[in-house]
Amino acid sequence: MSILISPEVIVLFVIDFLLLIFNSIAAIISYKIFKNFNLSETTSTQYNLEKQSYLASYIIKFSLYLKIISIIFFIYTLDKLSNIIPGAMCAVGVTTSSDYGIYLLIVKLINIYLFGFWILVNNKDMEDENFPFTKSKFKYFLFIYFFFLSELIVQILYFFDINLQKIVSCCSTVFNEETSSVVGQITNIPNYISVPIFYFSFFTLLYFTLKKKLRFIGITNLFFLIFSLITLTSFFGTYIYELPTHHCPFCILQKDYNFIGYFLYAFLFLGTFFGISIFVLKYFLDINLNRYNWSLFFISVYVLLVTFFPVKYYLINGVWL
Amino acid sequence: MNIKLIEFTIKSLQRNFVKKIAVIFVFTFLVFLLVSVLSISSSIKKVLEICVNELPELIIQKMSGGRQTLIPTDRIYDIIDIAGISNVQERIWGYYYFKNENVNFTLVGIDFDLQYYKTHYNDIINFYSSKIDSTNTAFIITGEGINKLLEKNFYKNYFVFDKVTGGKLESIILGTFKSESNLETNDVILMPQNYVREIFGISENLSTDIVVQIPNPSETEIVKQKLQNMFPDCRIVSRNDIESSYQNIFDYKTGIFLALFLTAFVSFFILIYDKASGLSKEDQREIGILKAVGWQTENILQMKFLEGILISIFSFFLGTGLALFYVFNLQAPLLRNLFTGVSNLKPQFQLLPTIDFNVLFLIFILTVPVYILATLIPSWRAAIIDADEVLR
Repeated sequence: MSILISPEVIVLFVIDFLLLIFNSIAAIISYKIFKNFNLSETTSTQYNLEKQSYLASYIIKFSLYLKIISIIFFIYTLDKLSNIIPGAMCAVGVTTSSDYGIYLLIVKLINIYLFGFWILVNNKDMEDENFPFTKSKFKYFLFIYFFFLSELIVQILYFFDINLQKIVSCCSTVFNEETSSVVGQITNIPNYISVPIFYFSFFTLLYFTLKKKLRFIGITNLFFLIFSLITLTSFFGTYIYELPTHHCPFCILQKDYNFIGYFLYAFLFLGTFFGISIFVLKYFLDINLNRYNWSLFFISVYVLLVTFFPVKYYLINGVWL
Repeated sequence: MNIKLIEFTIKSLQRNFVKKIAVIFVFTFLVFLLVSVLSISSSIKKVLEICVNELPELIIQKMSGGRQTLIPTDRIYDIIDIAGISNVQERIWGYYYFKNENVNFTLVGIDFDLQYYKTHYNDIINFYSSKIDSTNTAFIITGEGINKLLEKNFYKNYFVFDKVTGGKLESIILGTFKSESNLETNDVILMPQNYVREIFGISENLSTDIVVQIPNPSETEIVKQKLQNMFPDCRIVSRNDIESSYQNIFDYKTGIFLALFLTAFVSFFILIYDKASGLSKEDQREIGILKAVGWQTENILQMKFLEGILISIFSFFLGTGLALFYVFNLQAPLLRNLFTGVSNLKPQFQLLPTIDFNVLFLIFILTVPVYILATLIPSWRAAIIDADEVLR
């Protein structure tokens, strides 16, 4: 009970409740537009729909901004709750205290990407006088709305499922080699395999992006994202913590490591976001999005940052971890 | 979003400042209340942390019929044999009821020849050691709050205790002490152990409870288990238990406060929605003119959005500034009673100035988006006005 009444959780639910109301309005408008929108007509319904489309896109834009802030706040909440949940020392412990935790994080991340794609489509749509993508963008929003609802449901399930009496295991156990958890198994690809794959995918990404091979950009970006997350926990993280046994994707967000995690994740997610969006927009809506340089820039900065830590460690100490 | 638009929005806000005052006032007041309550709570938490760090790792209390009773002192000799324990001490203390003011003093018995487990008390003992050595009657050293109370009741140099067994005990007031946090020491009286025994009628082989110090914190739980097995009739309280129960209490209190505040939020939301919906003729004309000179619906929406952001951030910082001043400079009159309760000898502690950025972030994310969301639909309504309709 007391976890639901802790201030952070209340705030999270208040924000999500407001977002639910407004996104539902946007979803209703989207449905109407998807059904009845026809730019060549001059009826008053069409005129009203055009006006309403402004409201819907306004709401969706604001939802994205709020969602980005609220995911940071969510991670912060998890860190805070680790004081109350026995055994939890950082956000990992709080996430694993319920089976829904990991899914909630994944859905939250996917949602931010989805909302982001929507904004890109919207911008393209607004540039053109004929609003060529209006119908498809609102159809796409109905799809996002479904994800948004599922995020809310998982979040409710998650917070009601946390048991304050149950002792949870935290990062050192979850990402350990002997662990049975799924996340642990995935991150336990040995470093001599995962780190070369990480760099290999980076260079193929560079190649495809410079050559503008659209079809491969999407796939390699996704692949790069997954292996970035794996190597960050299993390899690069240990150099940031300077401790070979400390595998954790969340502790880098804390003050002890100068909040370096926020920069790392921002560059990683921005880079892959633009990379994937080039592919997605081209493939589904046939929009040419010229964001190759942005994607390259953010991803390269990420790789440089992440490479910096092992190199620094080696230069100072003369050994690898 | 370009600079010109921001400039225009600021100018237009300056022109219409009077109209926005009501909203800014309500918003500021809301932020003010929230920041005050949450920073009082986090400040008290910090004060408590200082106290908790002074506590021993384990406290052993003998229970009988669900109530705490006196514990045989010779159990110390059994406890000291457990590995990992650095120090075991009995404590003689209790609450002494002072009729004139209807308050309880915390009377702590100290063996002035031994090191006490609290470094803080040791400092006091060292400070008064020359005086202590030269006195051979009963004496007390009081906390600041008690000193004031006693002076008010004309006890300047001595104080007379009523013993449980009947009779009186006169003691000299040797001096006063204070500490970084007054929360704990304000109502404390230090006194030689044998006199405290006399006042409370505790015989030589019994004591109030036993404290155990353990240098290595990771061994605490195991020692606790061992002690529990040795003395099934005792309750063993560890410092962690106390700490997490404090955290729970304060989270609970702020949580309840926030939950009650939700109603205030709903009214805030409605107020702003209403305020923003009521477009005056002038506003409509302005939007009409802007549209006539070529502004798009999109631009007007952006302007309204910017306006919302500017107003809410301005009010947020104003409210936060006022609240921090109220809490840390004025020491939060009235509101702090919410947390401390009302009593005659309330601990007169200072709220330690700490700006908790987590709290500010929490309130920011709670109020600013709520404001902007509330103005969303009204500003859309304003933005879709047709130019010709208004100007005609």
